[in-house]
Amino acid sequence: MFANLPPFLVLMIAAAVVAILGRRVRGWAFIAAFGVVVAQLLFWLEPGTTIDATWLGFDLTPMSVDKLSIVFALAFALVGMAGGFYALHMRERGQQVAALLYASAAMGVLFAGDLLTLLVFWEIMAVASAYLVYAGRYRDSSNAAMRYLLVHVTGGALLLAGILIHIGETGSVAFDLFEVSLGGSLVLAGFAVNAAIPPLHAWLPDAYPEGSVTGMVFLSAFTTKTAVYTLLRGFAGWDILIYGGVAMALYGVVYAVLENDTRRLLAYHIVSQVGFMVAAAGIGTEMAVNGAAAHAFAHVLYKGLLVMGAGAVLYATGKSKMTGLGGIVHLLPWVMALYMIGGFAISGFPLLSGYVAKSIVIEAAENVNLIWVALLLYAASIGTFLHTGLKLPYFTWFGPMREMPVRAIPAGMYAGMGLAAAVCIGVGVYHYPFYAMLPYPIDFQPYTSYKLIHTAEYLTFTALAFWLFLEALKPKAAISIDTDWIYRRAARPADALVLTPIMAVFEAGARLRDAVVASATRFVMQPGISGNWEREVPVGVAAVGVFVMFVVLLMWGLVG
Amino acid sequence: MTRSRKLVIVALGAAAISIVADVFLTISEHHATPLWGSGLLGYWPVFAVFWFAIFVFGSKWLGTIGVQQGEDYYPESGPDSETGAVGERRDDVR
Repeated sequence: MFANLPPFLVLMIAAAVVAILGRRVRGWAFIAAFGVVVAQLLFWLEPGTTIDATWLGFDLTPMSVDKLSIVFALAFALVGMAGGFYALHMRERGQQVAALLYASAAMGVLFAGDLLTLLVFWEIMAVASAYLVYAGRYRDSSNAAMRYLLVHVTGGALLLAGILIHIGETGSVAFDLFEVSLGGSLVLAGFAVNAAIPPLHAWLPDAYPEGSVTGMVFLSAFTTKTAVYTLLRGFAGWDILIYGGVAMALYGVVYAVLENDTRRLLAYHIVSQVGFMVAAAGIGTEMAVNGAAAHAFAHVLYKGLLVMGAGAVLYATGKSKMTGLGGIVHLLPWVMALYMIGGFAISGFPLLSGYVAKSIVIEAAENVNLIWVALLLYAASIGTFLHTGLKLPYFTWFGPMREMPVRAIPAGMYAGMGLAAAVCIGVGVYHYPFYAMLPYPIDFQPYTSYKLIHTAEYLTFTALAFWLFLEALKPKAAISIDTDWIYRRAARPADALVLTPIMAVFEAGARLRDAVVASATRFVMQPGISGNWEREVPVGVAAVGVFVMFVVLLMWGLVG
Repeated sequence: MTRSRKLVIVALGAAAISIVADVFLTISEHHATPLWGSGLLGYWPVFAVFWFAIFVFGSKWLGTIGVQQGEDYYPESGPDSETGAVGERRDDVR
């Protein structure tokens, strides 16, 4: 029954069904929808499947399946299932429908064979995800959601402009590799906004931590990874992405040092980890594309797990800032244990998914002699372990103990985290079945003695340095200024310098207009000139007078 | 023995084992690696500590030159400290 339906349609139908179902079964329907999509992707959908259509004379391909789209879609469906379990206690219909629409639109982007279909799903994704930010309903959630939406609408406008120019340049709407051109560059800028490439990244650490506990799981998975997918499909081999990716990998790590909010720290590490994928897209070889796809798959699951862990702490304690947390390991031991699986996976510990995926990306850089890229990505891995594997867990679960009320974690939350953790371990241990899903054939052994020993060395010495400089890493109750400052703070001086003078000109024009009208009114109403003019001159005479004046004017115009 | 002390001992033990393994690996295998200098004994421990210092102290320096500000820097957000004074997150966290 579901075998031949496009996955985005399955999720869209599920969104409609969930919108009308009762609260007791909505959560299970949500999970079942993602279960169907997982089954479709594993057993039924074959690479090469396409659906074609024609619209306004354009040949569209709303669905085009290949191995690259399948591996991304499988990651999305698995994290959707995990997120569904995690959110089973959450009965808010709006969030459930928005999450399904968001996932559906993300799937739509993955399977879009043409740029117009992609654009439609891209915009649905922006609106649905903005709702999940708003649904956090913290102090700044609605403002953050509005900023998020404005940034993504701007990105969508860049994408639309790029697509239109590209169609003008090539006459094609097919979503293939772009040539260097104005249209291609604008499309790249639109994708770069969603990929959170600095300086276009600030929406991510601004908005995601304001999302709901359950919503952030989906937020962390879909938007940036669909952007990585579009970069792989449209811009593989563009050198600028190598520089952008490496900058991202380091930028996120640097900002994470200063961060106090656990969920914002994880958001900065999304920027950092997506940097690995963007750099791989820039390298563009088959090995690099495999590495980006593998890393995206692994990242969706371990980042989902980390976000679930930090969200569970927020759910239980009402706190997400490390200055307010600490010493709760005996209260939430299983949350800590499951979080640490994600923390070790993202840090590249052997036998976990991150180790396998990162090794492929770095090997791809080494293979094309991009040594500086490989070394800087290793450096970013050290920063990742420092923050997500050491700093965050230490100051959240260990550290100075604080007395605080802690509410029980629902079983569904543990189930969601458990599912994500199982995938992290499964991919790390049995990587050959995982290799079979990657877009290109791959013959790479991540577990060599050399790799294992140098990984052990840099991880253990990072841990030792952490203990040595523990005091320097102590979080402070502060925020970090990022590029969102431009539209959050600098907007006011810009308003004073640019908009205020323009408005002053308009206001002066309006005052002049009022003055002219007032003077004219006074002139015709002035008793000294014509007395009560409007009363003394009959209307008919006035009309005849005006008519005569028109005729005279017309004659003058014709004769002249 | 405290949990922290145990973890430090485990980390020191792991570091010692990895260095010993590295010595044997360097003697027995000539791993062809294109990474600059990575074949040298002790390369990765030094690499880790070097980048650790860059990240931690570089970030702290950025914080001192204005990147780090008070929690009430953006007026629309207001103070959001969770240290107990003001701005606790809602109890009915979703």
